[in-house]
Amino acid sequence: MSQDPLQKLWQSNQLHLPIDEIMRQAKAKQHRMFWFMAIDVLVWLSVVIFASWHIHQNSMPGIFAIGVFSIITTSVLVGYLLWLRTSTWGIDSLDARNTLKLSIRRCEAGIQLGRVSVIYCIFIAFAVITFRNVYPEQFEQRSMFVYGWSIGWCIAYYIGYCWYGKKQRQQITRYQYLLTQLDLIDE
Amino acid sequence: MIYWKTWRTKSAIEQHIQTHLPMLERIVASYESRHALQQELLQEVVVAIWQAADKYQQDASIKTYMARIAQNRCITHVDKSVHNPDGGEVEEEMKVSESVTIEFEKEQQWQQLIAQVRQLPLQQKQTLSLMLEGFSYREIGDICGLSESNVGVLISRAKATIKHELKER
Repeated sequence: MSQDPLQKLWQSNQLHLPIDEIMRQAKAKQHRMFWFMAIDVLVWLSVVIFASWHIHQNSMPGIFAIGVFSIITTSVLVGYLLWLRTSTWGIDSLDARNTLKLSIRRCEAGIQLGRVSVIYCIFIAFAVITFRNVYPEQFEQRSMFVYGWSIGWCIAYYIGYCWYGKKQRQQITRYQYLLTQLDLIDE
Repeated sequence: MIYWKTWRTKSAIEQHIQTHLPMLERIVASYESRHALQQELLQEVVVAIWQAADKYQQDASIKTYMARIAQNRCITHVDKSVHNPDGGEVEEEMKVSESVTIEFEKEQQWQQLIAQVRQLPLQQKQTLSLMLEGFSYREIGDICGLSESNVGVLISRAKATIKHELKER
């Protein structure tokens, strides 16, 4: 069977990209992705260990309340982040339409993730200020630092969320445009 | 035992990737014109194939499986081009074309073809690039989630556009 001239031309292209380098970088990227996933769990673990150690070392009620609060809120946040990530896995065996829909869901999950982080940060800031007022002896020398730290993180997270959310919404628009193209073909 | 099985699967996949890398590179090139981003996208494709190695059931050929993953990765590759999806490419393409015209006429023809493929609507681009890789209409239909007749229509439209554009040049 003779080959289509376009097919012949298409397949005549020789490889230009460095194979070994791409394979090496792909392996490194895969390892990196694993470590990024592990960071969530490590952060959670370190908060739990640090809070438990402080509770164990100090018998003051203020420390106990802050420690328990930190463990519960961090566990809820990390659990939610991991759920968001795993609920958007599985892109590889899908067709184009479902891949795009899944990508839109991933972007929406990303925006949700940012939103939850900001809410978490504000919540923590309020909690710190509340603890400061309920247990003033724990914060005697560090009031300004505690307020500044809490509000500073809130502002930093909010700026990050705005930037990231904008980027994700642009991607969603692009995916929706591609989905519209697919729908036009089916009509 | 499980580790051994996974290691063997991945090492077999590595060999398949080596074999089909030219195909993967062409699919990537039909979505991305900039060389640096092509390399980055190709890496993403290779990582995705790697990660999906354990899920590969031998109901389709490994080539079809890889092409499906590559297509899926490529259509979601908008991160860097999202701000200016059409801009920035022309200059790069012209530079590439100019540099290769001097040396290889065939290379230039290929560059023109790939540039035309990039301009096609999404599903025409998918079906045509897979057809040019030698996949049957049935396999293309499986990869893209389309019926064989739809594949036929899309490919003939895409070919007509490409031939018209190439003649005009």
